Amino acid sequence: MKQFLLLTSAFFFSILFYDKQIGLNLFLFSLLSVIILAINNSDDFKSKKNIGFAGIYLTTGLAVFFHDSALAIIANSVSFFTLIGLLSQNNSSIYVNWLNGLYTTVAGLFHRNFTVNEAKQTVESQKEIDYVHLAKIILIPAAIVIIFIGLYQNGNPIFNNLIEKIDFSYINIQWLLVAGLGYYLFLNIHNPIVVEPATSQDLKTGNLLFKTKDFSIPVLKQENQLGIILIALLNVLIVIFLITDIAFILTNEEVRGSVFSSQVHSGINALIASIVIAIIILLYVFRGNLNFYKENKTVKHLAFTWIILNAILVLSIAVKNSQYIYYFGLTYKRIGVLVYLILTLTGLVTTLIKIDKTKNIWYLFRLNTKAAFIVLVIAAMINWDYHITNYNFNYAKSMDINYLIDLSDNNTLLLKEKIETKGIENKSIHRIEEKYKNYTMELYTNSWQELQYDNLKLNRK
Amino acid sequence: MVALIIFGISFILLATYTIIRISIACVFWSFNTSTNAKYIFKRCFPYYIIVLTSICIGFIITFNNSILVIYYFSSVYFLALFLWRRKIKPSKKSFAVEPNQTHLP
Repeated sequence: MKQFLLLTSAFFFSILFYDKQIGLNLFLFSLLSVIILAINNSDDFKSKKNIGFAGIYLTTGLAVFFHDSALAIIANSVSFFTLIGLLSQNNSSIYVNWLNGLYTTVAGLFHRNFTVNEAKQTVESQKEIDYVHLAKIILIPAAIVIIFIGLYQNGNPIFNNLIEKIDFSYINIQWLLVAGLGYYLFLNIHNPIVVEPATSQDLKTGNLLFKTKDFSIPVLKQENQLGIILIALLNVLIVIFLITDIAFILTNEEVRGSVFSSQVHSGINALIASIVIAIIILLYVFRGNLNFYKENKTVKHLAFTWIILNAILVLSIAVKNSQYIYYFGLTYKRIGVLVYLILTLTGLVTTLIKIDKTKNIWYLFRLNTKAAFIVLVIAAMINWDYHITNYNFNYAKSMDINYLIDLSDNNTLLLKEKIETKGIENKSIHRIEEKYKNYTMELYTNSWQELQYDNLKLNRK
Repeated sequence: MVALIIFGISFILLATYTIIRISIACVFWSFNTSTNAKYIFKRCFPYYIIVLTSICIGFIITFNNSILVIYYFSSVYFLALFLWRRKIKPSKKSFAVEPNQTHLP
């Protein structure tokens, strides 16, 4: 039964991907993978967490169908590894899930064939497969079915027509190799495995920080003093900076492009780096026994203040970036800055929780990688090219039409619509027409495996 | 010309085999000689194969999914698996025990 399922999946894999571009096929592959994983790991699929991650994986597959973006494909792959890793070990951290998922996908079958039996310390080779029997159960029924099809063809003209319509001409050596690749992939993933000792080490490591043996009051007193002076000075500095920064934002309502450009490009990078360094300093100060020192309240309060001030700094950068977007339009780099700010803010909040609840650095890694994964999945759901074009046409005070034309095909239909509404120079109109023509040609030649949401839109017109 | 092509292909295959063989040997050399092969497999193989696969996929993407490149790097991947298999599978060679030759001086 298992072999039949895997062989059928391999057949579908080749139908979906052989000589095809990415489109609907990736979603169908996601569905097929989830079905195979659910059949072979039915107990694991009773957990709500696993079902949730399977749902995320399918959603990213749908995102690829709706807008065939590289980000959606990356999110789909990462969700795939996460789901497989989760099935191999439900309680491990998300980065260990990625490692387990990647390893299972790459060499799951090979690992299972050489599983080391800890008790016996021997390498267990898998049972020998009876190839003669396997050939018998495939070839004999197939030969008999073909003979009977030949007999029935002569007895019924409708059946004869039906049989004649079946066309296997697309099957060739390369098609079979792709099917072989699919079979190997499904064999690898159907029973997920774990990477040791990384997984057991991760399971052993908790989130809490404990007092160590070298707890010494005089040393901690010195550390506490150093922490207070350092963080207090940094607090004063950031307050002064914030005052000047807010004054700059409030007084410059209509700023020149060059001022904003230098502010945003050099300024924001430096500020983001300063926040990351701030988190590293706090992690260093609160790395050990200072967390358990009775008189650490002042340094803790200063640290909380500094985190809150850094969060305000993040907001001020977000405001500057938003103004920049408003004046000069939305671009990938500007969206990237916003994503970076969201991640930095998450980092600041988790650092605050870490200090307050005396958690260790693994807690930060676990929570922040999870946050990064969520941000990736959410970002993959959005058709950025469409929204960039839509925003720049409708809301931005100025825009670069060549930038919009150079974006992927996801904004082509919108660009075509906007030709008439905005005063665009002839050269750009010609480029848009060219882009539209190429894209519609590509959509019309798409096979059902390569279908995209834009195909449906085009058919409706 | 045919001889040159055969020589070229043989050279590439031999070079590939040698590089993979050396890369696996390096993994084993980094451990103590007495360390169990299964232990090394458990510790290092996952990372080795993930890195190797990433490099192979990287090259395939760089060369725009050219069929020849796909075939070559798929062979590299399977060759690496085969060589690891040879390293960890217990040898089936049987050594005959020499009888105690009492007549010898």
